[in-house]
Amino acid sequence: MNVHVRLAEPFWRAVGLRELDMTLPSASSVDDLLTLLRERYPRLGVDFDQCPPHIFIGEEEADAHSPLEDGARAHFVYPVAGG
Amino acid sequence: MTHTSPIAIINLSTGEIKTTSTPDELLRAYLGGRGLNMAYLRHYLRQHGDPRSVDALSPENPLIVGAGLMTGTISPNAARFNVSARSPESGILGDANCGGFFAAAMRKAGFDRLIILGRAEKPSYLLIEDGQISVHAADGLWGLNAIEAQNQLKARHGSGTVSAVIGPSGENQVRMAAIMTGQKNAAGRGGMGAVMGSKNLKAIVARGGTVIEVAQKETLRALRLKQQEELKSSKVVQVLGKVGTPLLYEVSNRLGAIRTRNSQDNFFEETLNGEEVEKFSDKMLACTSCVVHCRHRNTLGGEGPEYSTLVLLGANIGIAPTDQVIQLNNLVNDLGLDASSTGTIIGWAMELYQRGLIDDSLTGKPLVWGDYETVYALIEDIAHRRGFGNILAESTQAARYFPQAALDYLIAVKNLPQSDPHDVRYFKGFALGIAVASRGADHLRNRPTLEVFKLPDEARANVYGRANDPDPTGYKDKGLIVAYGDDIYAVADCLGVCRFVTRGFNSPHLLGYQDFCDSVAAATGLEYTPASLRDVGRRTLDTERLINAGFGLTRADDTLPKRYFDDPMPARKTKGHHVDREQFQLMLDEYYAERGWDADGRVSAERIAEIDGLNDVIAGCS
Repeated sequence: MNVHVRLAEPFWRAVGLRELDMTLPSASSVDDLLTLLRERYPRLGVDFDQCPPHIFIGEEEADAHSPLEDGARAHFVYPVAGG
Repeated sequence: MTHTSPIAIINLSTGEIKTTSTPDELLRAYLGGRGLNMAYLRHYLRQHGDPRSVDALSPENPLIVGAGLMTGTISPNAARFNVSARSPESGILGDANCGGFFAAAMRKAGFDRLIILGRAEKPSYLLIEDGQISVHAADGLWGLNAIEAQNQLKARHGSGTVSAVIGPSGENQVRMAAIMTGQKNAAGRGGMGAVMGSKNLKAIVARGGTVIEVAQKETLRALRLKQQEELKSSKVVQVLGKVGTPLLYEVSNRLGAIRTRNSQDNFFEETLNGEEVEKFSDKMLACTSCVVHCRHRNTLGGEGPEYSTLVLLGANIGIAPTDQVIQLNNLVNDLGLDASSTGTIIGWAMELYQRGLIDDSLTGKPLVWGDYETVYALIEDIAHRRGFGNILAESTQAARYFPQAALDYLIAVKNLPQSDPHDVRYFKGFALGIAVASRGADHLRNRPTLEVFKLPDEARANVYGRANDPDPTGYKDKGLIVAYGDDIYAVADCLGVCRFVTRGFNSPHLLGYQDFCDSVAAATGLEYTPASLRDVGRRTLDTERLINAGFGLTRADDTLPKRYFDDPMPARKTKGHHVDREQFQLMLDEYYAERGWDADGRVSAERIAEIDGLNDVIAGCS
């Protein structure tokens, strides 16, 4: 299955791309996607450890256990607020 | 070394200028910046008996310009000053905080604080130079936009001159006029520029002087290096230095918490993402002693935009093209308008037009979401008080020209338009924060940004002092966290330190009370404990509460825009969220208890006696 990933500031800087497509086995979860991203981009894993992202799959906020479907759009957002 | 804080009391009506020092007892109680401004503001307003008798645009309204205690030293991000007066926009406490380079220049030129009284007979400006203050005719300056006025003053007084000026908006006493320094730095909130204009005062110019003396130079230097290293290791500091506050847009938009079309919607176009703004940025800029560098220099001839401007002059009025929003940002800055109020008031007017509550007979032409040309012209008309712009120049007070139902769509608290772009219906701590903020709907008084983080319980307890409910959409324990923000941000404002390095603002690891105690001791010799320093913040909040009580404010004024109670958020993760009225009252109860106020939100008699005693100290010196 293919998952489209968008990395918001500052996560994309560890990868050099704001958007990328990842291929995962069918019936994968967000946890599997995180594992693959960490393996492929170790610096991104460091950033995720330092600032655990908010993860959205489509319009819904997801956690590690959330299932993925083919064609899913994953958005990794830095936890920040202000004005 | 004994720290002294020189002040000048300038009566523009009589030309009298008195210079003195802040009494030690007062300095110790309020430090500087916002705190001391509040002490002096309360004093001068009370000199007229009932503060409600002081028209905000009359000579009786004092205009107080005060640098933070640490401002101009090498402490990280100590650049800021506060401008305080009765607000012509809200009618209550007016207080605006600003960065840039002016406050350090003012201190170096000899003064920590200016108390400006009366009204000059003709347009004038103040020159502060080597411990002296003089009043000059503003010939050739009156009528100029903010940037050109500063250029002219540099030409007159030398390239080392740093000025705080008003643009046409201030001159025309537009109720949301800002005081500007540099291309973008604004003392924006509450119409302080209009107060300056009402005094016929175009500019305050600082030049000359020497470095600011500190008690323990080497200790302060060592602290700077240590704190700088710690701050630069923070992820949020790193990212702010690369993208600035526009980074927030994508985050809030994904959540569905962007004020869009006057909060009828809660998400907008991706054209306002930080990466789009970056395409128009050629450099990141800093303020005095800054380690963050969060301000864009844009390629369209200005600085910014910040996230607030991006949304309030973008999504909130339906304008999506990045370049158009940046042009509007540059325009409001040059005209000397508060971007937050301007965007909120135009968005309000657009919804009134959409609903048929106002029409062309009042507006002169259609007000349509996303109509850049109309908005550009309208902003110019607001600054110059022309046509419908003259009505919107009244900010929230424009309601008197509209049907009563118009108030149902006004996004303001205590008559101050909401400062920030965040739709607060989702995070209940944010909602409580803008409801109780002392100057009206404003996020920078107390925003509990850590609500966005999923911090472990232990970490939350460590920051806030006790265990608390981690659910940011619930109502429990929000009084605790808002009171925490109130206090530490007030202390930062007293010191002149930027939010972006203050603990609790997007990181639990930034500068906290102990860091501030160390820096204050090294800079001034004044010794504080974290608890006694926090009490300075609490005293400042209590003084502000008393000022507002003097204007007749009560618990009923600690509330939210009707829409935040009654209209559920329409889309995305936040869909369905709104603020429950009964739960909101329980949050208020908890907040008042945290503040040590009674159930009606009144300051304790013991604290009033203490603050009155400090007021007597001012009275004895003036």
